[in-house]
Amino acid sequence: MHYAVVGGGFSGLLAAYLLEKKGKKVTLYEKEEILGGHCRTIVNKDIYGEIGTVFSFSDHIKELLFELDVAYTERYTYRNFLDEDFSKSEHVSFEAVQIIMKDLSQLQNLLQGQYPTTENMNYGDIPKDLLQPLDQFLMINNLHSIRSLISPMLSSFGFGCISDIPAYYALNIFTVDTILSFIKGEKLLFVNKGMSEIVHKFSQNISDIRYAVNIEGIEEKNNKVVIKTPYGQDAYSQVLITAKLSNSVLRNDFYRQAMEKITTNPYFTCAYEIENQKIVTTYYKPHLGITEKIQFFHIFKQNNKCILVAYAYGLLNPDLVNRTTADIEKSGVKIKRLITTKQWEIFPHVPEEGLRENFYSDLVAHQGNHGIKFIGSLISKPSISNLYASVKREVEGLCGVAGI
Amino acid sequence: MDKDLKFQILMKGQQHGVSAICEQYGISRTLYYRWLKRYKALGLEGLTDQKKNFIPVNKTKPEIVSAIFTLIKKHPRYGPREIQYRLEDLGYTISESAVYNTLKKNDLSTKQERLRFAKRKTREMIKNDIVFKDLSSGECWLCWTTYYGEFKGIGKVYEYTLFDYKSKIACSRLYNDLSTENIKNLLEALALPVAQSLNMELKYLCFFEEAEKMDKQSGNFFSDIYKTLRNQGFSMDIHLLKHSEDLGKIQELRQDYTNRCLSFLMPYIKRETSFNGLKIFLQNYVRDYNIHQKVSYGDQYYSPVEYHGLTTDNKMILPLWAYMDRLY
Repeated sequence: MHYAVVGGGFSGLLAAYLLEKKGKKVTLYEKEEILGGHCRTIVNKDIYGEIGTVFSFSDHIKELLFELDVAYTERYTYRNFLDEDFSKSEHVSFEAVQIIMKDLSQLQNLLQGQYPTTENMNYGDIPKDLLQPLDQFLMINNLHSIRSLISPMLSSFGFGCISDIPAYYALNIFTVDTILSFIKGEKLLFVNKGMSEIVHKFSQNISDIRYAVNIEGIEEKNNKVVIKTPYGQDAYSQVLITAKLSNSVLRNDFYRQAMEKITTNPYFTCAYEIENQKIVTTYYKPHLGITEKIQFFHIFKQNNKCILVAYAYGLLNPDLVNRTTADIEKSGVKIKRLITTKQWEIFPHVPEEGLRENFYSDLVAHQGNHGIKFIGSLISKPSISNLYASVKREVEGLCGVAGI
Repeated sequence: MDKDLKFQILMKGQQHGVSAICEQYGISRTLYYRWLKRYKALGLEGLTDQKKNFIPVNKTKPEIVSAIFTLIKKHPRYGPREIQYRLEDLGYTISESAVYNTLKKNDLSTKQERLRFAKRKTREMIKNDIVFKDLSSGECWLCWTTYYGEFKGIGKVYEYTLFDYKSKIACSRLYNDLSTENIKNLLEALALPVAQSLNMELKYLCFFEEAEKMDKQSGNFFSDIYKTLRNQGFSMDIHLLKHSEDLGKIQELRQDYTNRCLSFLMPYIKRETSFNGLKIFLQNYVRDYNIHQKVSYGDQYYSPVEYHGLTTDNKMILPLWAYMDRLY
């Protein structure tokens, strides 16, 4: 068996790493010159700043970090919220807290009672009610207070606007426990030398990686799957796809149609070095969900140096970066210099108009047919710890009994 | 050193020999030639003190330096190698020679010097120069632990409190034992984010004598706390309150607050509440104390958070969790 993995982000690397560890032959394809996808760390002297994935919820990921000998820290993340005038305000008001707690437990009951599928690791059957946008779903169920509570979290994950995102996705990743852990400011897990260290450790253990290679076609031939590149073609017994591919690549009708429905959100980050001030992760409340407006920024501190990474929806252009910079300065931050900007395509999902109840269950039923499988964030909630659990299970499924 | 003096040294060196003049002024030949090179390139201006905006990557971190001081206090007979081994045990990576350099820089490179240092009462990181009457709200925090006793079904109960001297804003948690970890937890999970939210200009963190005991036990209590503060972006001076003139008043504040908490909690303790239940009761009580209970400030009465807001012109903005039950 020779496997191919398409996409050298966290999921692809993990899949290739696990397959090779189990003694399988595996080839990894990455379209960029460097690996890592959304795991991207910038280094300035001795400070590590994440411009992609920032942290992990702690659950499953520790065993991987231990295995790879990657040092991590669990720390509290302090958050500020800004209002229209860029002055500090509360996330939600003191008066609203009682209502929120009540609404949250109501949401918990609702999900557990009527929509238990939201608890699953991978996406699956979608209850009809959850096809509608989250905003609408919350309104109908009289859970207005959850709206302001959850919108900063939607932005953190690049989910887009609360009135567009199908409720299924949002409630799949933001379980009531996750929401509670967010608002209680519980510890998050950070990799000391940045997420890129995980990428580095993975790649040290994968023998066959093709960098900067553009896949032109993936098609079935004589019971094998052939991957065509501008420089030739190779045949594999199974291809694992971890990323959104352009429409013409997949030649199999079913997979091509599924891939066509999946879109991503354009999202960009701007990283700055700033004067070291008492600044913490900050959300721009009136901007949340709006394109081309700064959503929030993270702060990375070390030895009196301070890096600020800001996030906004949209496609990078100089004007947009300048407006983002201005909004950061309006909130009282002294910027020393812009370090970098980076365009991302984040959160593969099917938008409301294309989403059907059986989209993912059909996909699951087809998985593996014609030698093709979608894995990672194409079929699972896009948090690092969840992706780890999901990809690991897929690989174990491929290799037969778990652990062998 | 001003540029004229540097110029004189350069000139004398040219007349009387570089080595002799360097020795006379206590500078190295390397430095002499560096100045000379700059002088030749830029004239007298080249000798202006250069502003150093460069911190070497391998500069020994302050927390390691303070850990070294703590170790020397405890084991003055240790040389650089033993100290390095000990530091490794404490989780600090540093070479033997870096330890030596730190010792040298602080005139501690001989055993006699270290023995003398260990006998001195003053501690590098601990200062004693707070003028309590001049403090503003949020500048100076007191940290103490109070042993409540051992109770049926709960075990030992210690109250840990961080208390702002001026505003009397308090953060308290209950733990089963005495440890540095608990203080770090109280700081990271509660006190520092509250301080951050309320825009406090933290300057001093004061401990009482019990902290000295904890430091003697662990050997790195103060450097641990220092590290915790720095990691969250706070640079505060750590003080040990022992002989301060204001100690009487401070003890009074502490006593008053502790009495409030104890008289609130005692009925619950007697009713054999679970420890988690007790923690939540205290949490609710302290929230109420900070936000609603009127406390005296001279002849005025405000709630502590209200007082802080009035005197520092800040809106009352607290993290969402400050209003919620939060188990720890």
